[in-house]
Amino acid sequence: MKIIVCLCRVPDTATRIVIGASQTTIETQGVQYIINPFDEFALEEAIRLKEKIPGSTVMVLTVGKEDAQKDLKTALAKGADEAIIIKADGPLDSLAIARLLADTITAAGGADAVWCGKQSVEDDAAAVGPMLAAMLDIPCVTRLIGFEGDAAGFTATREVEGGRESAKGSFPCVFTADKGLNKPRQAGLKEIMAAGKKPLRTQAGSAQPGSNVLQMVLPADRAAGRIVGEGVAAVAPVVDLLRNEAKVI
Amino acid sequence: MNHGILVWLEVRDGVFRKASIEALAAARSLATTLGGDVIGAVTGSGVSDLAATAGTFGADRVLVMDQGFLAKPTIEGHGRALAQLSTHSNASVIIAAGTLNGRDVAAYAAARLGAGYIADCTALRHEGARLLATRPVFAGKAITTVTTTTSISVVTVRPKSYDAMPPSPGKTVSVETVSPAFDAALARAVAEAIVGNATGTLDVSEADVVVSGGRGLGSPEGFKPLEELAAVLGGAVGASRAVVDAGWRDHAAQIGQTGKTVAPSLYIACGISGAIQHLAGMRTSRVIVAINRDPEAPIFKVATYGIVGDVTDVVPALTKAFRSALASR
Ligand SMILES: Cc1cc2nc3c(=O)[nH]c(=O)nc-3n(C[C@H](O)[C@H](O)[C@H](O)COP(=O)(O)OP(=O)(O)OC[C@H]3O[C@@H](n4cnc5c(N)ncnc54)[C@H](O)[C@@H]3O)c2cc1C
Ligand SMILES: Nc1ncnc2c1ncn2[C@@H]1O[C@H](COP(=O)(O)O)[C@@H](O)[C@H]1O
Repeated sequence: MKIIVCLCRVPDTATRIVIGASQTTIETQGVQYIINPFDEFALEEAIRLKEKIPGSTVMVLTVGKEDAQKDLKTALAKGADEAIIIKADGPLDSLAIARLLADTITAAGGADAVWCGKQSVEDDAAAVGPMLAAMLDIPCVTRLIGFEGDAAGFTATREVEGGRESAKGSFPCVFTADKGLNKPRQAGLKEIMAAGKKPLRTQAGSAQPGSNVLQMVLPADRAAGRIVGEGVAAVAPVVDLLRNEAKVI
Repeated sequence: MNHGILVWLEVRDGVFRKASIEALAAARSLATTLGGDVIGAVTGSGVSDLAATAGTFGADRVLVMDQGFLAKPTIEGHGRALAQLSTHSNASVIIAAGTLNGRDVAAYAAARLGAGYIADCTALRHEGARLLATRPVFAGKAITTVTTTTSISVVTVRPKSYDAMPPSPGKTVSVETVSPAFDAALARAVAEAIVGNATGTLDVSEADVVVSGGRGLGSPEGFKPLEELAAVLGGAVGASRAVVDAGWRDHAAQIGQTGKTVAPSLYIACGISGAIQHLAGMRTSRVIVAINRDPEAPIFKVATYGIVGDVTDVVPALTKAFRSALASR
C-alpha cells in the first residue's frame, strides 16, 4: 500500500504573534516552528498502517522551504521511507498547496491512503484534505479520532457536532487526523541516525493561488478584566452584573 | 459582474441548520449592495419539501438535488452536488455555513470548481466586484482580510457571525430540481456505512453559554457541578486541554488552539489558568466569567468578571443564584 502523509510546519502554539512589515503575514524572525500538532497524529497513523500491511511505504510531503529538512528527518526517523520538500515561489493558499500536493502524488503514481492533519493551527482552514480528495478524485473522511485499517478497507470514528459517527470504506481515500487518534511515538537515537540514509529531496513546483491576504492585524484587545470579589460572596454581584450590565441572562 | 449568491443549506435531522440560515443572512446583506439573487442550494434525500421553505429564511429561489445517495453527509457526494449546482446557477459567490460538514463540502466544491476558497469568515463585504472576507488565523491571535482572485469565490461563514433574519413564514419561491451529472457510485464509497450515533448533546461550538472546566476541578467527578450549572443556563460543558489529556473529558469538549474555537454570549471558566492556547479558543466570547483561587491566574486578564475563590463552593452557589434569577425573570 502506498501511503502519503502531508505535513506542514507552523509557529509553536505559544508564539506571541507580531505582524510583519508587509502587514499581510506574521513576523517570522525569532518564531519557533514545529510540525503542525494534528499532522503528528496523521504521521503516526500512517506508520501504523504501514506496519500492519506488509510491503507498504510511507512518503512524506511538505510544501515549504529547505528549513523543513529537520522536521522531515524526524518523520523519517519515526518510520517514513521517503520525504519531499515541494518548493514554490510566492504566496500560497489552500488551493495552491492542495494542487502542488496532488500533482506530486499523481506524479508518484497515486496513493492508496493520504493522511493530513484536520487543520493547520496557523491558517485554521481545514481545507487541504477535502481539496486533495477532490483533485485526486477519491473519497475523504475527516477529523478521525479512531481508525482501524487493513488491506480490505477501514473503519473510522470521527467527530461531528454533538456526537460521533463511524465510517466504513475502502482505499484509496484521504483521511484527516484529529487529536485523540493515537499517541505519536518518539524516535530513538538509532532511528535518528538511520534516517540520515533515507531519501529526502527538494523539488520545485508552481500553482496559482485562488485567494490572497490583503491585510493582517492583531485583534482588538479585550477590555481589561475586573475581579468582582472573593468566594461565594461574589456570586450575587456577578449574577447581577451579568443580568443588568452585560445583559446576557 | 455578480450573477447571484448561492448558499448551501445544510440539512440535519430534517431541518436546515441554524448556521445555514445565518449564512443566508450573510448572503442577503451582501446582495443588498452587490445585487443578484440569493439562491438556496439543498442537497440530500427526501429534502424537496424542506427546500421549498427556503424562501421563509431569505432565499429568492432554490435549487435542489434530491437523491438517495445523498442521504448521508459524505464530502464527495455533497461536494460534487454543490459544485454542480454552483455551475448550474452561474453564481459568482458560493457560501456555506462554517459547520464541520459545511467546511468539508465547501472546500471540496471549491477545488472542483478551481475557485478561491476563504474558510471560516466572520464578516463578508465587497469593494466593487471584489469580495473581501474577514477571517481569524492562529486561532484568533491575528485577523486577516482576504480576497479571491478567481471568477467564482467560495466562502464559509463562522456560526454566530451573522444573525438569522426574522423568518417570513409561507413565502413561496421557485424550486428547480437538478439531476446529478456525475457518477453517483463514486459518492457512495464511504457513504454506504456511515452510521450516526450522535449523542444529541449540545456541542460547545453551537452553544450560547459554555461552562468550561480545567485542572482546578480536581477530578472527573469535579465536572458534575459544572454540568448542573450548564443545564440551568441551557449551555454546554467545555474543557481545557489539561483535563482532556488526563482523560477526564472527551476531546470533543476541548476549547483552545488545538480544540474548538467558541464565541458564546457567556463563557464561564472554572479552575482554568488561562494559558495562551486556551485563550485562543475563547477570547472572543462576549462575556467571560472566571473562577480561580489564584488571583494572579492569567484568565483574569480576559475575564469580564472574575471571582477569586474555590470552585467547589462558588460553582454550586452560582447554579443556585442563576436558577433563582432565571425563575424570577
Ligand atoms: C501544542 C499545544 C497545544 C495546546 N492546545 C491547547 C488547547 O487547545 N486548549 C487548552 O486549554 N490548552 C491547550 N494547551 C495547553 C495549555 O498550554 C495549558 O497547559 C492548559 O490549558 C492548562 O489547563 P488548565 O488551565 O486546566 O490547567 P492548569 O494550568 O493546571 O490550571 C489549573 C488552574 O486551576 C486553579 N485551581 C486549582 N484548584 C482550584 C480550585 N479548587 N478552585 C479554583 N481554582 C483552582 C489554579 O489556580 C490554576 O490556575 C496546549 C499546549 C500545547 C503545547
Ligand atoms: N504546506 C503544506 N505542506 C504539506 N501539507 C500541508 C501544507 N499545508 C497544509 N497541509 C496539510 O493539510 C492539513 C490541513 O491544513 P489547512 O487546510 O491549511 O488547515 C494540514 O494538517 C496538513 O496535513
